[in-house]
Amino acid sequence: MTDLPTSFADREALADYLRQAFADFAEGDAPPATLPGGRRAAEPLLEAVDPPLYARTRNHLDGAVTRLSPYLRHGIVTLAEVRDRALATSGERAAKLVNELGWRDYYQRAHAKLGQRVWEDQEPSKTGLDAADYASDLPPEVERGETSLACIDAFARDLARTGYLHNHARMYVAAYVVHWRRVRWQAGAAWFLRHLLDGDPASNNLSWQWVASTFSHKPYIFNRANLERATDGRYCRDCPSARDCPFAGSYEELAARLFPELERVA
Amino acid sequence: MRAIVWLHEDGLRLDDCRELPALFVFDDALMRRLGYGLKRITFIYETLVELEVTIRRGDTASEVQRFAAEHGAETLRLRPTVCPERLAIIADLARHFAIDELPEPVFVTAPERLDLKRFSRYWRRVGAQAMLPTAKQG
Repeated sequence: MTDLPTSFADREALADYLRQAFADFAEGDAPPATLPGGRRAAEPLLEAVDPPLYARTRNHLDGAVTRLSPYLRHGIVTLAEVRDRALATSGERAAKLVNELGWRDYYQRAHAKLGQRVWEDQEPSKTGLDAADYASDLPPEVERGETSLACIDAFARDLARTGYLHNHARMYVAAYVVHWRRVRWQAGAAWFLRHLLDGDPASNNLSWQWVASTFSHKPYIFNRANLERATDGRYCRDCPSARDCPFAGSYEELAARLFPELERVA
Repeated sequence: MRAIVWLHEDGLRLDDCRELPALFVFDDALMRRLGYGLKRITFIYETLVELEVTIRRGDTASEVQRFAAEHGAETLRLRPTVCPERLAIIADLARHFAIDELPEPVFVTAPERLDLKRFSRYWRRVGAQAMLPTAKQG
């Protein structure tokens, strides 16, 4: 067996080589715009970690999130290392960041215990719906970013192009797929794993299950006001569906619409 | 005993084993099963180029065995993983090699019977410990 090349003039030459050598794995025509691999690329991100600012702004889509997840997922950087740096610069004010690092450790431990069962419902869903109420496949317009919902479409395209989404964008898309479109979470989880640079069945699948309520006490939903706050309304301004937004309304109204069986029981 | 490092994508760093021959295998069948696309392959490949390790393509277990034979190695050093597919490959390779799992820096040392049903239960047990630097982990 011959060795694969390890010397390239630049990133573009490497990308050209891979596009040809791994053509079977291509994901469409658009050139990928991904974070670069390697420890050197992670260094400036590590340097930039600002734990108190992270704690204050991380729920906003422009917040000071670390973007270290692809490097953590591949063991290029370790949780312990990020924690130690955060403690050194910020002491107790690193608590929120350390807590979020804890989620990855938690999901890894859960995956070690569950193995392939991360693909199965961990608990019955709390939506009042049966498994038969959920479609098996992801609707193609969701994957292509052609639902006419500006927010969801932008997230789907960002995912395919960059291999990265802010955590809240992931939660919005997952809630939309599972609760608004009534698609099995496994279909959405597999879609994310195909694209996310940090994709890992542990964090990914168990987070989808958390949204679906098969690994939590209740289904996660969001509303338009929440999304507008987290995005400064940038998607809603020119959204073709703005007048007929499926996310508009209070949480109570949305829950009544999405989970009618729960109302009946109550 | 001579050793090689088998690098896999759950632990793409060398650290304390830079002096050993190291191999990464792009295994098409496995990547298809795991749902990898070109973006992921590119990210991993860039990381490997920086690490200056040997990169090959084929069936993982066969390529690891071939590389080990080229270096007369009887021990495989590798990073821990929880990936079921990779654990199966390691179990297979363990029939031919001594497996030496490289130690990871400790985030938290969890108690034996840790309740993982909810994050909140896990965090109640380990949250305070997680706020200690690695040097002070038990």
